Amino acid sequence: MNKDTILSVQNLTISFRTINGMVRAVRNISFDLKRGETVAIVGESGSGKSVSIKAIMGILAGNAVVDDGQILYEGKDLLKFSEKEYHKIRGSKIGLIFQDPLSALNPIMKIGKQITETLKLSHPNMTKKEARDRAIELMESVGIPDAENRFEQYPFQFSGGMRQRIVIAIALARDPEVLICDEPTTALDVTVQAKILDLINEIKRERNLSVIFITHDMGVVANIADRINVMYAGKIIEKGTSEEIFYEPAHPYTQALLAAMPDLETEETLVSIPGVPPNMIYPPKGDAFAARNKYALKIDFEQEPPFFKLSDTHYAATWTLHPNAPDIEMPEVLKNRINRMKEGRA
Amino acid sequence: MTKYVIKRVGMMFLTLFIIITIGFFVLRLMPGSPYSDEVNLTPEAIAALEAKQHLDKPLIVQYAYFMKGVFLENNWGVSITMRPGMNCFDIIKERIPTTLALNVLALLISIPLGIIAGTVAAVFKTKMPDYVISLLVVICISVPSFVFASLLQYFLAGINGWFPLIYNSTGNVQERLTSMVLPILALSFSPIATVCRYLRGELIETMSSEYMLLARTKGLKNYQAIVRHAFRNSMVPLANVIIPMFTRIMGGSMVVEGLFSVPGIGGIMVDSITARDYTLTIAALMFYSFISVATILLVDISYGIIDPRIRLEAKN
Amino acid sequence: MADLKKKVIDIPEDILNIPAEKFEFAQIHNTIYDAVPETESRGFFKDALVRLKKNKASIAAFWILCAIIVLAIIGPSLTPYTFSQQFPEYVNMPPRVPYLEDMGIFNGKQVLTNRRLDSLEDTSKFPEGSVLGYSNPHEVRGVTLVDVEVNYYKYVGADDTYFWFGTDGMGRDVWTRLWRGARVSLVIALAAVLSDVAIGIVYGSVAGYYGGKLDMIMMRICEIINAFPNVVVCTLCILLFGSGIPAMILALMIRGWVPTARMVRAQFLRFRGREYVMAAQTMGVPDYALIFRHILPNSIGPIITRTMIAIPNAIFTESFLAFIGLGLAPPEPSIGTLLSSGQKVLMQYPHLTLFPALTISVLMIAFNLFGNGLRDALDPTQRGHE
Repeated sequence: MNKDTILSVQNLTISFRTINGMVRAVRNISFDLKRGETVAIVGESGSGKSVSIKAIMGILAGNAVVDDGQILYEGKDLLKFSEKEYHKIRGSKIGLIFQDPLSALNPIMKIGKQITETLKLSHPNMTKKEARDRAIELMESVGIPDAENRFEQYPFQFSGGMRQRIVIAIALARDPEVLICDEPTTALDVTVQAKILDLINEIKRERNLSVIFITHDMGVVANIADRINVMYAGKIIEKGTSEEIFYEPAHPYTQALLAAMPDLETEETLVSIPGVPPNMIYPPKGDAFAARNKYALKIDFEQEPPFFKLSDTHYAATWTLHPNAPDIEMPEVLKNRINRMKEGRA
Repeated sequence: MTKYVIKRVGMMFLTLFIIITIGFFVLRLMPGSPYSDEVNLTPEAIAALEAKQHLDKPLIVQYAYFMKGVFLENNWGVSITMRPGMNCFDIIKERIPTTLALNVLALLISIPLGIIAGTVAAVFKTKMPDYVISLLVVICISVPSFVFASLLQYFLAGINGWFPLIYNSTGNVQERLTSMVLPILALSFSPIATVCRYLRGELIETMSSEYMLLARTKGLKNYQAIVRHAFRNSMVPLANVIIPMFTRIMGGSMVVEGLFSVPGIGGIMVDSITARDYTLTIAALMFYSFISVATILLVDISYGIIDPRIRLEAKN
Repeated sequence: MADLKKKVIDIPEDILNIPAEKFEFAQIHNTIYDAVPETESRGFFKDALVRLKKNKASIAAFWILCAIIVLAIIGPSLTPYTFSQQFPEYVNMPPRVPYLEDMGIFNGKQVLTNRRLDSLEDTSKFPEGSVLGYSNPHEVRGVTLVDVEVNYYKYVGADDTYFWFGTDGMGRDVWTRLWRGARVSLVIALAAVLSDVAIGIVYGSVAGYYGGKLDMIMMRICEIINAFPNVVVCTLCILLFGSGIPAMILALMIRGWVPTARMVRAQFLRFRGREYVMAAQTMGVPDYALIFRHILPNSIGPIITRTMIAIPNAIFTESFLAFIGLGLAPPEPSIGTLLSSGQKVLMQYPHLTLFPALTISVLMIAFNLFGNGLRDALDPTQRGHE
């Protein structure tokens, strides 16, 4: 493990017991988070991204089983932690921002109380006044106007964007090193999304945070991530720097995701991905995406593709990169778009 | 908020008024005069008694007298067979403390026990303790309180003799309390189960909420998160279960008081029905109506007070 | 992609050696459709039935209910006695069942207290074989008294008679009366609840469908009726109309329809504004068709659930009324009257309380369990949070 790697997930495999059988939610995923960088995990709902971060936070649901793997934080395996040890990490070292800020805040507790309660966990001797001042300071730092008055209000009196700022303030209250954002903009209006992303970028820079950013929206990732992991059906199927993923997407699923991104500059129709994700009680053999891929190869249904190395940072698990595979062109829309982007950059 | 409360109070009086009116007409429409069973009275004496109670006047005039008596003079009509000539209000009044003691005690021990059981069930959701508690809850909610009363009376009083068979109204405080244990127990099974079932549902819902996850991820210990967030939030709706529960306990208490010969309002109601002292029956019913309507009012008002969402919106 | 392929480095040997024919397109000529749901589509009730069957407690409750209902129908005719037939010579007989008596239960055993020890041999007092044993010998004024355990049937000279659940204080067969009473209680409850549902559906539909001022007035009426305490309403009703079965049903109905009406109204408010209803309306579908074909079916689940929960409540209220002295007039039994009359001699003849108490308890538990299961099955969103 590299010295400046702060968090490392290795071979993590998680299943859920359900009435119908074991759901293989996360299958053998590995990724690293380096100090000061932002790693994004991208995938559609049900791909296992939220489960992975719940495992990191140690808040998996009761019917979850960690079958295999390690989550190394500062060299120690979090999965082996007792609840007591975890308690020292949660909140104070790793903070979490939720998808839906409305349901993440206690509806009948004043906003201020919810922040000061968090502050007091790190500083048990803090006086009421100090906690209040610090909380108001925090609220201001996440861009809440009139924080003094807002302190006494209840969540229902806040707008969606403001609530998310409060959730961010709570996550920051104990000065964590790692911030995990679980689709922090999904539940928000489009106009507010950009502001929240800016805020996350800003606090990351100011506090030198390491960020894990979960989203299903490739467009959001572009503005924020240093490195991207694309997940499908519980597996990471492609990983690389932002640039590599955006300009040289190798896996058909990554390409499809990018092609499905709305583009303001052209009037091309969106390319939707046909079919639905597989039933994870019976994960398909081979490449899980094959069933939805027109250009799927025979081997895609027989053998799981290994990671093909494209560069030191760029890996993709797809048979199309095998020397024996036929040459498959990426979707026209995507090719045009990448060319345009490259020109724009040049 | 004030307007809301006034409206509710108005509603309460309207309801009471209707109940008492119906009570009055039932009383008068029943066949025969209240005194017609009295064989050792001469017709003249009966007529005199009836005249004293305004029974010789037209129905509508009687109604006016009755209403005036109830609302202005605390005169709820006169007992006929049980305590002849005595104002029913006074009979009821002297029995209120016993009934209240019995019911309030039952409520007071039910709430904490129900809360503990409900919390245990929720925390150990779908594990052994939860299943056991859930089964007990179904039994306690289903089996009527008078069946429990019979069971307790037969085993704990009759066979074992741990407690007296019937209420001891003449003994000292300790004797009286011991003799109250069985009736209170019999009354408590159902409310304990009600609180337990309700709290379990609420807690499980709050515990699976996102803000509980946030509470955990910001570093609260599991029990801290449960106590500070889940528990508090679940208690809010619980108030609206507990208050109306009191009326139900009071209802059960009618029978249980009878079984244990507790000299309360339930007891007098059963006795008055047997003794065909219907004025007294109606008076007891009026008392129950008052309690019941008052609890409904309390619930309505507490809705407004407890939840900040309603309270603040009402203010704005 | 060709240029991407060239960039790939460090391919392990075994991967590299995978034969080329494996890399043919598998489905390039097929169109990929959004997946058709794999499971067959099931109707609402079939789906509910599947969920209900998974709930073992509810299924058990269902069969217990069936058993009780069957007994309530045929139980009274299984004995040679009628429910009102009195045997003055066989009063307060203990329970005795053939075959079971050989196993030591239901054997007509009774303890007679304070009998003279020397009289046990006297066959005019204790017929041959009636004494099973004695205990607790004690002296009173020079005479030894004991508690004698006897076979009561032999004791009264009725060795070939069987009263399965014993007899009551008037010498009537408890088994016959119990199931007759269960039948009466069930009929009362069922009649009351069905009328509640009928009234509630009509009232709630009208209020919910037409809305506006009419709805407001109708709901105010509901609110006032609902504020009447149940005990008070039932007592007044029976005081006024006497304690026959019709009066009992009426007493249970007065307040009983309000919850159904409220629920149906709420469903109407929910679905009244839905696009599909408006669409039907613009196409000229008449009011009654809108109500009965388009809106009301949405309430069927909750209505069934409410019915199942209301029945045990009605049974409870009926026996409650019996306990406060407003039960059915004799000799007609109901579970409530049996229980309350048994209660009066609880310490001496516990069997008179035991059987009706057991029956009502099992009946209530079974109804509640089945009702809960039905609720969970019919309304998956309301499930007990698994």
